[in-house]
Amino acid sequence: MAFMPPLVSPGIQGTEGPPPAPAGTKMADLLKPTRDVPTEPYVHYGKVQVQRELNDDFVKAQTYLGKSQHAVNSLHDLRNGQDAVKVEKITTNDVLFSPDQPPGTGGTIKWNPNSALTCPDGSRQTAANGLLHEQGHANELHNHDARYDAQKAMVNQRYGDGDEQRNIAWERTYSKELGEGTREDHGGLPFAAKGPTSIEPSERAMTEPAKVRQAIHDARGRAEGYGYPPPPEPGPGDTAIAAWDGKAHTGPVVHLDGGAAAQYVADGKGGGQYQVYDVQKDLGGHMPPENNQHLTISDKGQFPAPHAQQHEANVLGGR
Amino acid sequence: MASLTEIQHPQALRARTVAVDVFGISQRIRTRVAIAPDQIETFSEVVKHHVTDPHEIDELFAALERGQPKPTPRALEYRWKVVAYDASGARIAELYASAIAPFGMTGSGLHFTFVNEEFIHYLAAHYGGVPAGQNSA
Repeated sequence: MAFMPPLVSPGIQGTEGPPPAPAGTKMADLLKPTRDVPTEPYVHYGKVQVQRELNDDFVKAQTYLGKSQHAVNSLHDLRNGQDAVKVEKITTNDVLFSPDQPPGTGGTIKWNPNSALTCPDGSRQTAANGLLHEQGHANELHNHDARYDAQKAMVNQRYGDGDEQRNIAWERTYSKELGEGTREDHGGLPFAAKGPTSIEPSERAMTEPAKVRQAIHDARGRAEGYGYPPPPEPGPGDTAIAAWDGKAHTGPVVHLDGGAAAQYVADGKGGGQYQVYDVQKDLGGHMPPENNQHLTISDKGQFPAPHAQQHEANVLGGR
Repeated sequence: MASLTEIQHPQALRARTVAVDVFGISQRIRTRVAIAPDQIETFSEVVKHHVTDPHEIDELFAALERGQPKPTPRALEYRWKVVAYDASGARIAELYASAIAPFGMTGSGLHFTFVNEEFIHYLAAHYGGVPAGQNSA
């Protein structure tokens, strides 16, 4: 009998996030450098060392994140930690926390200040949100290193392991405070946004059929990996993928990139076609949710997703 | 590209293989989004091992066979990618494996489960990852 892990791990601890900062602590106070020598490659905020070329975006992100007390707690905790945590810039979507690099430190966060995320329910998160997510891992390692390893060894389907389950539960809490999207798994589709606090895509929506086909294939893998029913594989031939015909349809949706989604429209004869929506133009800027086999999108490009749409309104309105 | 049957019974594949690349990402590295199989090879923190020693390739394939891959409908995040090359340098097989659960996938996207953890333990022990249930530094 093959091993199959549970959907989620029971008894996960630490979902409340890092310890509270002293009463009255302000984000602006935490963003006063403790060492800032122009010829040096890092700007220091206590034990947090930010790559100089990333510093402006780091300050912009933290200032925005300061709307949530959880972000203040996180940065205060790292700033006053025992070991230095580096924050370095990347230009790919491999946003991560590496606990072992450089050796003997508190680890390195690699952050792309333009890498936003579409959550499976269609809501979106800023790049700043991803920075705080990785800080959460650094906080956990810093405060509970034994628990960090113990929960990381707890395999589950939705989050991969118990440590991600802990961190994403905390992410849900602060994301709601920020008015951003939330996730119930370790999924999501990164996309290039206009800046660290933006959820607006900086690139044109995907329309090229070969790329759409690959993106649908990837979306099927995501669904299978997290234990959701996968949407159908596109059929062969040029007609299997087309632009939205402007009519109402019911069927599963997949996210293609930050500005495009495709819906499978069954033909009633065992086949079907994927129709591609330009989210901005066709759907009023609202990304529909994935993992819903029976989602109806009206001929006006509307669908029932108040959760995702409320988040979009909060972030866009709060800038 | 190799089929699941060829991966389950890899003697013929082994005979054609002259080199193997093993790509691994430590389970200790935390990511914002689960790592997709097609990200592994170009992931910023990936560690690559290029293996040409015939004895080492023998051991790798033996560990794969002992893992007894069986088809499964689902997959988790993958942290290992193994690529086999023939004498012309062509890729003749690719497979992916998880770091802390016995899951795998062929290069053509067919998911499977290892009946035991022999193969992922072998990868972890030889190529620097962390075996299942032993994640402490």
